[in-house]
Amino acid sequence: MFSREESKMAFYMLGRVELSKYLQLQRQLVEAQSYASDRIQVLLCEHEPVISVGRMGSHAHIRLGADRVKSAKLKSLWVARGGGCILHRPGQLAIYPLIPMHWYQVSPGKVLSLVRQAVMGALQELSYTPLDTEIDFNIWGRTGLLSVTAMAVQRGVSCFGAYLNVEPEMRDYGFIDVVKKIPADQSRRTMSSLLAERRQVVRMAQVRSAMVQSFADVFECQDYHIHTGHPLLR
Amino acid sequence: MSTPPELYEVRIPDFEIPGARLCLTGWIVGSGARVESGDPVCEICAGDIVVEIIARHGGVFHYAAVEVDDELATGTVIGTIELEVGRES
Repeated sequence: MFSREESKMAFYMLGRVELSKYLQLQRQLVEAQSYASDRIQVLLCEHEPVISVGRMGSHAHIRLGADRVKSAKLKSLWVARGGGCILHRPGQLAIYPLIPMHWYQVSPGKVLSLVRQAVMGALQELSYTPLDTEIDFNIWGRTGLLSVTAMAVQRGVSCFGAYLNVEPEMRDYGFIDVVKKIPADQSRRTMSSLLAERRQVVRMAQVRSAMVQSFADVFECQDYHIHTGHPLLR
Repeated sequence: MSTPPELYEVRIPDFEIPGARLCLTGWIVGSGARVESGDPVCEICAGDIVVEIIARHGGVFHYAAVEVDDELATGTVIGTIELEVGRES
């Protein structure tokens, strides 16, 4: 498992990147990491507007009218991850932890719960406490779903990750059903945001920085590196 | 008289996700295909995560009696690998 002496982490701040371009990068990194790498790489970015559809999703979960899809130029992309449909847009932080799971001897369930724990930790560091619901690995606030965890394990490496709505333009989010299970006190399957939840400006840079610290804490890593961009992302 | 091939069963491991419904979402290799140790053979969806099942030995992979979209349980045999004598990795 993880330990202060042995866990090795590197964080990559990718800025704004198209989902399809990120997926290419992820494929390359998974391929490289599956060969006995001991380093956890966490990539943080925002995506241009697109809807990704995971293995639990279907077009029935996208309730946007055809006119709106056309005018917003919203494409949907089928992706090999768990979870359902997610609308990506600037203002949403995508957090992708690539963990060589055999090296750290962790199960898929453990990875999901560590990722959720790290996102929760970051929110707490920002002085925000989400609702205490543990029906799955997502994070809820009073106004709805704040962070969704949707992952995959490819060649023994975890990929995809968590998507936290910080301050995206909220138009269209109400028409995308993201989850199947909802807590008893919630009525919608759609995403809200940290801005709606806190009713005050939340800076993305602050969220990113809290996320880095929280992931390093949860994965018990004292010595980590932060990079801007990625050499393979051109 | 030739000895029967040694068979290795590929089972769904414990993902440690209590209550998750496991579903075969796709085959990555065909039945009868040669696989190397470390090759993914199929994809299982467990709700919030999709996990590739990896061949632990090299040989010829054969599907068990399971189909795409079947709901499965931990430990279910999803296929067998006919180990190749002298080539096992």
